[in-house]
Amino acid sequence: MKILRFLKRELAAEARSWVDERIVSEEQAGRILDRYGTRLPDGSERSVGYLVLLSLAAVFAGLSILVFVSANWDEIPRNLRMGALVALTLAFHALGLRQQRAANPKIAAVWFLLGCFSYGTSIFLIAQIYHLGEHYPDGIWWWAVGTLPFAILTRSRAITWLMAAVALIWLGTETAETFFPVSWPLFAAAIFWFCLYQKESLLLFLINVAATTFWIEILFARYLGEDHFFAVEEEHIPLTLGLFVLYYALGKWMEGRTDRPRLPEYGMALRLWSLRLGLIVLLVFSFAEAWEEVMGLQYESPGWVWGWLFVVTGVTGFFLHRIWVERGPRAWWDDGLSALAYLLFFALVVLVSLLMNEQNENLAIGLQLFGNFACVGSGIWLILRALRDSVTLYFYTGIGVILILALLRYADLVGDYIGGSLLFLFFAGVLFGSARFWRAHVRKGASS
Amino acid sequence: MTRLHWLMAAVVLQLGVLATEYLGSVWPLWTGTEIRLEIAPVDPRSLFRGNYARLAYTVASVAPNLFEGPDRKLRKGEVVYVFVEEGEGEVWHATRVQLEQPLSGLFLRGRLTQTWPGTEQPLRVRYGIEAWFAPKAKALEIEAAARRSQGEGARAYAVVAVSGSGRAALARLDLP
Repeated sequence: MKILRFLKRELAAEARSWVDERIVSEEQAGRILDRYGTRLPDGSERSVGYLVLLSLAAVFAGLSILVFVSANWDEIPRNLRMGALVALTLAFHALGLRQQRAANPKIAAVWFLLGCFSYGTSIFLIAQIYHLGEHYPDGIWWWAVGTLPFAILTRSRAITWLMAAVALIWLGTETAETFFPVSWPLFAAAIFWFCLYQKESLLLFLINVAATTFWIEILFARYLGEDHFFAVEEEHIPLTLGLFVLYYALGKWMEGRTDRPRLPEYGMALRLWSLRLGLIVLLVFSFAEAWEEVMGLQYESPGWVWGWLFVVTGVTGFFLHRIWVERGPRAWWDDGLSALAYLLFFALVVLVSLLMNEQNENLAIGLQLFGNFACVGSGIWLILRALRDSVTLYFYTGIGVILILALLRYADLVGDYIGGSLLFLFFAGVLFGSARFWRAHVRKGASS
Repeated sequence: MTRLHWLMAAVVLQLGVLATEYLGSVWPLWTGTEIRLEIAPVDPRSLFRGNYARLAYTVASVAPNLFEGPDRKLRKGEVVYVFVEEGEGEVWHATRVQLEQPLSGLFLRGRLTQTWPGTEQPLRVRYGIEAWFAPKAKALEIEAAARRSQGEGARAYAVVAVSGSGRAALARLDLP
């Protein structure tokens, strides 16, 4: 699986030019592109482009309506304003239904998109006409709920984006008003359904994962709080770390499911982002102070943290088992080992926080050493994977981890000057070894 | 049912939402009891001034001793019911606040915007009638009139219709 999967359209366009220049045959280009889940452009992209432009025009027309009617129509009677808004919404939807009936679903979706814009505008303008404003997130929620069926029924990318954007605004405003957004899973499920079973949208998928993570965090804050207050406590640290581990393991498993469309791409993106976040956490734990903080954590509900540790271990174990069963032991060492290492690091942090009741400087320094070696180990592993699989993203991430770690250690000059000098010598050795390995790898590739 | 029928149902759902919102807005105006509320001066530095006139009510600031309810921390956004009573000059003022919806009496439904647990600071309540949408020039004029009225003795009032469930709707402004 290569990062090239993220650049399918560019790859297809390139392949078309290779065919035109007779570098490869059409059949060969087709076989190459098939590996990445795409095919040669055949002219149908023009209609896609037309629809994209039409949808964008509809979005801007919708925004225009929103801004235009937002100006106060003080001179026009209330009922007339109200009637005009409803009539406009109805008219757009009527045009959409007409196109749908004439078997033009894509054009119909553009009209429905305009109708949904007009519907949202109407909600806020009715509130404006009647000078209402008790709890404005409710209006945003009704907009998202009213758009949801159109997103599901039309499977239109633009309408789904509109629904997702409005639902995200509601998620933020409802939380900001200290209310718990109970119905977010409804919107999240609709967005996941669209991304997994209808159309590919990596960005929408990642946004949905991030928003759902936020929802889980505030759900937990609500559970910890009293009288419906949100309480962000120490327990949120293991919760967040555990979610990263789960996303990484899930991403690893999804990545190998090449029998299912879109799943490998989403899996790769999920794994890459959870890896990046994990590396940031690892860099934080390259400081003794971070370990001392963990030792000083006072959980309100330690039983919950133990439970969460078992859940994360169990679910990650399940994914690792699936990888073993579906891809065999050899692939497991490639795909499963890093997930296991991620899990063990999480378990170490949680166990230190649970078992240590007071700060212990000596142990913190020992764990700091471990954190530093784990960082270096991750950097080397990424560089080696990059060289073996020709994935430049891994290479730069690995180099980046080592350089940031070197910079951090230079700043706090760990082990005084001699210790710092030895550490840098070690980094130099790692990078020198990587360079040698690279050269050998390139030579081997050239000779074969 | 075909997809066309489902789409028609979705259109009906949207119209239903708009109709419900409309009826909810006009219901207090059609059936409610009109009361006069005194308007307090507003902060003239608001960033959003211009699109609407901000109306601050004296009943929006409720003394904590008027609260009758459980002895627990109140949170921002919590729904409260504020009983009102007619006073001098046909102006209505708050007499009691509670968390449960009353079965009888004239009361306003609002949400807490600020609470000061353990202090004598007043509870701040928002009733959803704090914005009078108007063109920029007119909105600024209303806010200026509300501020002027405080110094000259003449007061600014809003006439509000209140439904049986406590929902309020702005009927008109009574400016000096």
